[in-house]
Amino acid sequence: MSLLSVNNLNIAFSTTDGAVSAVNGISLSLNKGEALGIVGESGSGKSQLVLGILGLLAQNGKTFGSVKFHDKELIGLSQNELNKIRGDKISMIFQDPMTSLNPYLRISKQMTEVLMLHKNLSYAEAKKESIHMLDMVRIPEAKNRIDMYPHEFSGGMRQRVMIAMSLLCKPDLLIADEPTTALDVTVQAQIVNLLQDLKRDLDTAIILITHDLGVVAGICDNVMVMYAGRTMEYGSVNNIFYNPQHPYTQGLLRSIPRLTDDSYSDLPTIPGNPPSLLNLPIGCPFQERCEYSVEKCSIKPPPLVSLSNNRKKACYRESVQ
Amino acid sequence: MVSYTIKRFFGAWPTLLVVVTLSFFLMRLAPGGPFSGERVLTPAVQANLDAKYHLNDPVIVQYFDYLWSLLRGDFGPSFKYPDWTVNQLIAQGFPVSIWLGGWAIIIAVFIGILIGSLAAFKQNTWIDYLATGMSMTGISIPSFVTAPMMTLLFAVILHWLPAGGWNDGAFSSMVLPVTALALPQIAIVSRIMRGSMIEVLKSNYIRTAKAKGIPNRIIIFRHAIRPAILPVVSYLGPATAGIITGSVVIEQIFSLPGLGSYITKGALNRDYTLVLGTVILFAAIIIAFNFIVDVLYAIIDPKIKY
Repeated sequence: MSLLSVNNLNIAFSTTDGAVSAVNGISLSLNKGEALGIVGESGSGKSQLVLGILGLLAQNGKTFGSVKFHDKELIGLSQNELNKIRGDKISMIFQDPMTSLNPYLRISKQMTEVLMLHKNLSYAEAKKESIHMLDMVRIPEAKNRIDMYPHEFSGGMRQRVMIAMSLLCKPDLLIADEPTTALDVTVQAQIVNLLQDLKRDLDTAIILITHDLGVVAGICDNVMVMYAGRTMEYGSVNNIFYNPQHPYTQGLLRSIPRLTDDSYSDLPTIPGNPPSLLNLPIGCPFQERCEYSVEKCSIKPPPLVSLSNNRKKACYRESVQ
Repeated sequence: MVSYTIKRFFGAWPTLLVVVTLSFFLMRLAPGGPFSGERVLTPAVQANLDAKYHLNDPVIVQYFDYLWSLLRGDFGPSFKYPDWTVNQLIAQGFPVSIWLGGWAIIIAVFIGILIGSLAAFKQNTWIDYLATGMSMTGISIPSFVTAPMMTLLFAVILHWLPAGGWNDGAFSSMVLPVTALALPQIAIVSRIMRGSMIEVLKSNYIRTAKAKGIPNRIIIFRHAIRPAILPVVSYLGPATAGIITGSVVIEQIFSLPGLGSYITKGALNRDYTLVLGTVILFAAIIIAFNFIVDVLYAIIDPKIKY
């Protein structure tokens, strides 16, 4: 039985211009201790997918489909019931560590409240545990620093505080929404190491959203490539990186700058822009930008089909070797 | 913090001096004087009056005389209320105004913050529309309309409350004027609070708090109120100073002996010392409240250090 299983999840936002469908029929499953990377351009619905799983969408957002966590349906739960799961069994870290911590409260307050709420610890016990967790993410002098305010920490340290905070209750699932995007490269490497340790030592399942394919390679077991709210391709890290099947995945991988590249040539890009989510094309959403596009691509979107064990893609094109 | 307080205390004096100087010379620049409005005085009487109040001295001498008496805490004699000094007039009217205005502000802060937060949290529901509509009404209808209407209803028709008078600050006499003073403030505070609370609730750290499974009640009181209240605090500084120095309209309608009527009467009568006295008092209170706002900011926002 998988820890998390998402089945045909759709997320739509009602706006004054009409319905925006951010996530269109996503299914995925995740086992204990497994790390799944979700990659894709901005606006491909990666963040909305995980916010929808946690019931954290903006007020105008609606979720349809099924999200089962420990075999319990999360869609349709009240905020009170979700609050028992959020921060305890599933926790989340966000993209921007500079603004994701409350600047008006001491770190101690922000960390202990999680344990006091979910684990009914006293303040003193919760603080001890929080200091321990800060030590674990290698915050120097955690004992003294815990009583400081977020603005007294650097960006990388704040993200480590966020990670420590999200791990306080030993969650079964950690969702990391672009945890390294706002950080500089050396700090990124530290965060990646930290997430690797977590997975190994605590057997935490991780969903990692990122633009950074290097980060995916470092942490994840499997990768899901998203585009316009759909799964384009799914597979193990090795398969996706060394044998990409979907033209979009191939395009993404080609767009990674390489040190060995001739510095005078332009970086390869995928021409065009993602389609408007207000007005999705009838066929494959990638069809307009795809160099292999054929007639049937614009008539009906290709279904997500299993290629082999643990390998799926949504493309009419024959598999390539 | 202590050194900041001391710095601010000494920094306030030059500001006050500028206010005194400007108002002193502006008063003298305007044509007419305190004794020019009544029947024509004989030259001898005029000369005697001028001599008594030192009005025949050169203006610059009068200015330094006035500064010297200010240094001794003496605002001088009133020109229009014989036998009264300005100190006595202020001592009589100011407590009334503080009492009325103080209660009005306290009530406005609590109710305004409550309504504003509630409207923000229930944004775009009927609660929000009701609160926003009421505060828009509260801002639009001036107190010279609400005050007589309340008097008509609660005093004349229902006989629940007295129509006016001070009665040494008796509760029943206070209800109507304090309400009339507080209503527009409630409206303004709740509008400011709603706006800033909506901003705060959209912020990333509130999303983090939600992702931690924190219940809404705690999110509001622990995570959102402090940042959301800052714009209210900066509005309240000058607003409080304005309200506790008296409202002419409210004092006239409810015949209350507050400071507001002295300021207007003093200005109309060209009562030099009374106007100067009240202006200096007003300036001092504004400076004091701005200082209080700065201190409150430092208490609320840990990023601010003095």
